Amino acid sequence: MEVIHTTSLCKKYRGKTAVDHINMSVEQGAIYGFIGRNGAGKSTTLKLLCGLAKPTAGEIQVFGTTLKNDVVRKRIGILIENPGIYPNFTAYENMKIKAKYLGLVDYDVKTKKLLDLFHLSAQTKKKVKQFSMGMKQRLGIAMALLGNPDLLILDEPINGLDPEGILEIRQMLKQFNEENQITMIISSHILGELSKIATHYGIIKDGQLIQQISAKELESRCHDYIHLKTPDPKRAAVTLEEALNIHHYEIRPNGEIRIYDHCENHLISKALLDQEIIVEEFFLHQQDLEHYFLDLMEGGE
Amino acid sequence: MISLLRIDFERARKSKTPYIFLGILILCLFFSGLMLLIVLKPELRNAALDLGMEITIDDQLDFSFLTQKSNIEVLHSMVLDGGGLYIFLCIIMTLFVCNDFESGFTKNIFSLEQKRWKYLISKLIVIQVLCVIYIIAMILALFLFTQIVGITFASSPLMDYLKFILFLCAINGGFCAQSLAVSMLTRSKAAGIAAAIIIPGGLLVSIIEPLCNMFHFSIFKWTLYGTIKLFAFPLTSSQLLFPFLVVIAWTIVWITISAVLIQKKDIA
Repeated sequence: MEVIHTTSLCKKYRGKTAVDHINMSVEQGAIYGFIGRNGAGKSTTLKLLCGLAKPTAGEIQVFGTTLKNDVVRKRIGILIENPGIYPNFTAYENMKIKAKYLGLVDYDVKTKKLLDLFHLSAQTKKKVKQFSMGMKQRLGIAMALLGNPDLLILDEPINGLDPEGILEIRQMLKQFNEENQITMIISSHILGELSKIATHYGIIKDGQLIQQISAKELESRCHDYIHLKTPDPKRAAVTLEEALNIHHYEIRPNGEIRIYDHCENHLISKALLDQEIIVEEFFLHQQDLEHYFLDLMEGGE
Repeated sequence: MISLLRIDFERARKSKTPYIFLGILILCLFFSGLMLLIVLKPELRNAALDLGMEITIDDQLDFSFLTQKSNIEVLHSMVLDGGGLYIFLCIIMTLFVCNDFESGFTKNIFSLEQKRWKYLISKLIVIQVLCVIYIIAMILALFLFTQIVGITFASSPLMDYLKFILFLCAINGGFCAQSLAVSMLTRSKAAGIAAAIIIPGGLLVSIIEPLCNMFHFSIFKWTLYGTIKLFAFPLTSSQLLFPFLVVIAWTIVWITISAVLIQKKDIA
């Protein structure tokens, strides 16, 4: 079942297109990693999905219905940009206010359990304005989980967390996802961390969703390749095709060739030297999510 | 809506600002009462003159007419006819709303609430409840003061008290709806507080009215500030009708503007 489905979703601000015809789909139980550069439109898209901004065009379906349904909205927990917390109240008071707003009856038990889980129960008398950024982030995530949501939308949730905190949050989110089947959409710049948890990815560039891919498919695409740089890449490519029957390769804009077919290095270098093709760089490259993302941003044929 | 009211009342209860402002109003009331006492009691008047105080009224005058005024008339002229009550309540409204946006808590509210106008209504209800509490507290404070110092003012029928509270709340509704609109537009505490001081305090009207007079017309009685000054005793329905209609009209205008702004603008 699709938890989120958008059709040609657009958002314009004074003539500038922040979100450009996005068709996104997120399956139930998925952890959807939403990746893009600064200013690509990630936060704007997430705000549209939460109902905090109104789309200029397009449709959003959440749990099969629109955001005009208040029951559906109560199934969503959010953390967008910075945590929405009152600085002059304590963590418990902030949680209590949100719990009252959600109409939770047993809010005391639930609040204390979540504060304990996020290591904030020792800070009972401290006002939130005295919290570190990491503590505020943890409180923000705890508040997002307060209403037992079926969908969590988290915008940069690990901002400001130390390595220990990042590990804890990652493990907790994974646990919530596995035990309660909570669907998650997480945007982050820290691709290494996201790659440890996400089951699907959406890659956004200049407001457009350029790719949606599962983690398994990404893994198969993130394979090693032979990196080759030459002043005459087209002639080199023809040589590789004719001499070595290499067809699975990519010519990059800067004269770089990536060879994905398996072939012995010495055969490649011999074939090119025989044609007097100058080789400037030649090495084996191992690709991960970060490199895959950077390659996608730069483009190639 | 009930959930919104619950959290707004919780915040109002826990916040220090409403208590501080109420304390200031009561202190002003006691201070005004003290000045009144000095004028009314010959022995205190003489003692004040001996201390070097200047009393610019004829000390031979009979001030007993003052004690023939009603409690609520005295209360109104002491602390409520200058707009101070509305300035304080408008500042509270501004802080309420702007703190919600500044802290980001509006994201929690509006991700759950599709009908954004409920947020406005909730805020207005809470501020009106505060207004009623303030007025009742000041009535009780005046009563306590008169008991302590031994002055007696004329009593008012219950209906007059109700009319008094209702009308002041109506004026408060108009000013606070205006503050709400300014807060929705600017989301800035500075702008909201400046507007709260300038408009209910009469500064804006005192600038515009003379300009209008130069063109031989007056806007005074059509303004919210004008309704404060036109408030007169005894409280008869015919006297209160026109100012009441002006207040209602302005309240509708400002609530409509606020509703349009909150619907059109993105929350975060």
